[in-house]
Amino acid sequence: MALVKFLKETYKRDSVLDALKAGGWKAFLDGTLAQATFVHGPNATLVGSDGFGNKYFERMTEQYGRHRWVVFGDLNWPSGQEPSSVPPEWHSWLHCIRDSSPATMDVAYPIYHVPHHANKTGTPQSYAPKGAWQNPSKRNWKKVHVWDPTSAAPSA
Amino acid sequence: MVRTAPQALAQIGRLATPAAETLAGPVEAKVKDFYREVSRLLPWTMSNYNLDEITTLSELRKNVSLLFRQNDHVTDPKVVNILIYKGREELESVALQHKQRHHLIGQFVIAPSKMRAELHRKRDISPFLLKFFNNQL
Amino acid sequence: MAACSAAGIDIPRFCYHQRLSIAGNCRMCLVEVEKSPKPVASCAMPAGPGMNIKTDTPLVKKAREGVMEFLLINHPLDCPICDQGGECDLQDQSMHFGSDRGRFTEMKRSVQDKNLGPLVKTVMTRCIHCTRCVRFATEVAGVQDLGMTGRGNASEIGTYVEKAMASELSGNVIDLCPVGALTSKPYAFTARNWELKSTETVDVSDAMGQNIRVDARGLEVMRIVPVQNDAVNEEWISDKARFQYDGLKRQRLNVPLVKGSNVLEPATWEEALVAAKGAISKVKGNEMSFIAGKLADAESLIALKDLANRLGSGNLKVEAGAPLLDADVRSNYLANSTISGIDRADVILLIGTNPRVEAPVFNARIRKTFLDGAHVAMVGEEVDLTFPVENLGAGSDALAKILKGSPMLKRLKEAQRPAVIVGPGVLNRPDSAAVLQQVHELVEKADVVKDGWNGYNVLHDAAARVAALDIGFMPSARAASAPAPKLVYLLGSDDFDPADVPADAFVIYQGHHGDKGAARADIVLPGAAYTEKNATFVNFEGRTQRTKAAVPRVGDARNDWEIVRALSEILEKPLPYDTTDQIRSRLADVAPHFAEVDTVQSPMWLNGEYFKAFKDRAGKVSAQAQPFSSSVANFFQTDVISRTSINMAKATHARNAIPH
Repeated sequence: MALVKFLKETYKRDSVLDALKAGGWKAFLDGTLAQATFVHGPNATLVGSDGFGNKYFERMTEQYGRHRWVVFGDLNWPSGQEPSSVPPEWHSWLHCIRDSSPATMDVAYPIYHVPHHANKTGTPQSYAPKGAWQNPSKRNWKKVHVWDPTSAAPSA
Repeated sequence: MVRTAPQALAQIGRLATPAAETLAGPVEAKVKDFYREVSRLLPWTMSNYNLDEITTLSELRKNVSLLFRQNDHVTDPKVVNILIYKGREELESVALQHKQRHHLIGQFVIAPSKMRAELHRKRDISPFLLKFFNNQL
Repeated sequence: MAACSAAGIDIPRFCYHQRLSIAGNCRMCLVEVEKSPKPVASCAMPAGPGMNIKTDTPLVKKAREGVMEFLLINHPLDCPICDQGGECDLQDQSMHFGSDRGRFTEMKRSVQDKNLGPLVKTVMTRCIHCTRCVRFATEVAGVQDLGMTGRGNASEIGTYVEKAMASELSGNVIDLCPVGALTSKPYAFTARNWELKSTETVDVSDAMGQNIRVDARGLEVMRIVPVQNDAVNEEWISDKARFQYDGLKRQRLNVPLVKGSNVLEPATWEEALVAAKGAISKVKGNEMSFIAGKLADAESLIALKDLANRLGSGNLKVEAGAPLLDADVRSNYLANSTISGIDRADVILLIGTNPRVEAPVFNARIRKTFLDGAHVAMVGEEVDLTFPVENLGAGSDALAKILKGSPMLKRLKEAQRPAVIVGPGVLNRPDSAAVLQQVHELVEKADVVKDGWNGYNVLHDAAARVAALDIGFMPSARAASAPAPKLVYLLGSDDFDPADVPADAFVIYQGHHGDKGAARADIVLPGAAYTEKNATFVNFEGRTQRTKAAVPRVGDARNDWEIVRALSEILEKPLPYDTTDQIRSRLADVAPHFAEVDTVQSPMWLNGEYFKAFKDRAGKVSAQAQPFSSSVANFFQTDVISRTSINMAKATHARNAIPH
């Protein structure tokens, strides 16, 4: 039952059939998804979730080292299931660097903190060096910038 | 009648090694001989390098003769002999396909036409304007 | 120290500078004077008769080594990343007097960097407290922004409150700083000084003709620094002259452009000139008008004038060029006292001018005269000239009041060397004829011109103006009756009066930057900027100076006069000069002083004859009430180069942000 409930929750559908139709069937092909949906999901405590929709579970009856896991908000493969979407504070909980989860304690951020984002590699926002063609604002090393007549106003 | 490449090659192998005796004798005749050799190879060059898209045979012949005329001020037989020797080298590399199509286009189509425009300009305008257009002031 | 220099002995120094007051605080110039128990600082020691000075004794060497060791205690060892590296006084002198090992084991002190605006970069930890910058700011630039705070180890140079330096001469502290504490912000980390090729040339950002050195690397101008010329700019230059060079790299014209269907398209020179011929041959001679811009050089002006005359047009104009001035009488449009002569003036009356923005270095010179005891008064809008000025009123009514007899008139009359300086703001007023007549009357009444002294000065704001007047690049007698122009030839003119370029006119623009002129044009002919050509300019005192090409021209651009020459040949009216020497001899034929480079030929003074003639010519014009104001609204952005410059835009922004 818990499995059915979890399937419905994961795909935000009212019936199991709809959830399967909406993508739940993929769990039969994708091992990670299956793990998340059928094995890990049920019978575990939901500890919290982050801004990316990732859900963090804990089940103390599991073998030590496998007792905390994440179910990614975006389960589509390959665009989703992005491990780097786990923010540092959850990462430290997930890897048992700290005991208490960010959901139950305040995280002290340093002054230079910037909001976490997943790895942008492969997306249009991915980093391109200043001279790369992919860089939309590619740096121009020309010594002289030539006037473009089309840029000028028709005349005053 | 368009000659085949082996025929041309047979000819070239003989021509491109100037023996001592070929340096002797009147140079005018040798220049004419060499010009004829070049002219004989032109139809084969046209077809082999697919130059029909770019130029015509008569145009190419004119260009080649312009290149010959570039040196018409040379009278020293030794220099003429050297020029013929260098011309033969060039001819050989064309015949052996050591040159590629764009080499020929640059060397025998575009460069001579530029030269001709220059000559034409020189007749019409003052040295100042010529230098001005060439950005040599 | 001056005595030692005269004797050919160079004494090391940091704080001493011959144009600034003596501080004597670096102690590097210690020398041994006979019968003196201690070494003395030679900069502050007056030389006396019979004095025996020793500059190379072991005592002197030891003293200097001691000073150097103390200086280096708190100097960071960052020469490899310092912009001054390679031209640093401290670096050079530590080669002579520096120890090969340090005895200092404590921590070096560090000082927070000050923000002096977008032009001057500070690394205050490098500062050795020579106070040259402080003395320059207070004594020459006349701004009380910089100062020294704290004592002993905690002393720092800086602005008391965090703000940019409100001076037009602030860049000079970069040259003055003997170490790398004050460096150029735009130049920072762009080049090392030993890879630069230097060319001594002349600046065109204002009409003063400041002598500059253009340091270029390859095709790029990397920086501009002053060259000493005591008769013109001493050794200062304005911030515009120093920092506008980045405008030379932006919005340049590199190929001829011809208007195709509604848009300018690249063309070859042949096509462009033939297109120009097509347009010119369609109109009659007097339907053509020629407007020269602020940066036009004398060669291109004379070539264009000759061409215009050959085409039968006399409609020549210089941008904002004061058409009332008579090109035949040189003394009526020059600063007759000369720039260095202003030093000797004892009463100065400024009329409708703000030299602080029109020629900042000249303003520093007037300030120096003021500090020497001259009385300076002005008629015009209230402006801060960095020194106290007696303001006599704002407009022509104030002038009338002076004429009727006022303390100022008496003062001018009694003065040995009175100077009247008329600004470009007056020349461009609609009622300038009336105002100029008042000025003339004042000059007559107050005996401003006397034996050996001519105190009548006209200030200009554009580098091309005086050369254009010398050549006679002015509307001819028949130009007034000419119809509205159908073809306008703009020689680098971007600030033209829109009334001069009718909407239906065909416009040919020749210049180096794409701006208003090029945007309006139908044909664009790319010329050379002042760093790219060997050209002649005349400054407002009538000094002929020549620029030298420091960098090659951009793309397919050509020298300006050569463009006109080539066009003349295409038009089948060839001008009779092919080389620079030939056109310069043509210039010398028109006005002999063009052959006398870097000299001022004092113009003939016509003893009031000209004033009478001017009165007859101008007729009766009544003066208007609005106050005299300067012609330069924003010092940092006056011409096409400074408008394109990002540095100048930043400086304008920073200046506007300073609360007054």
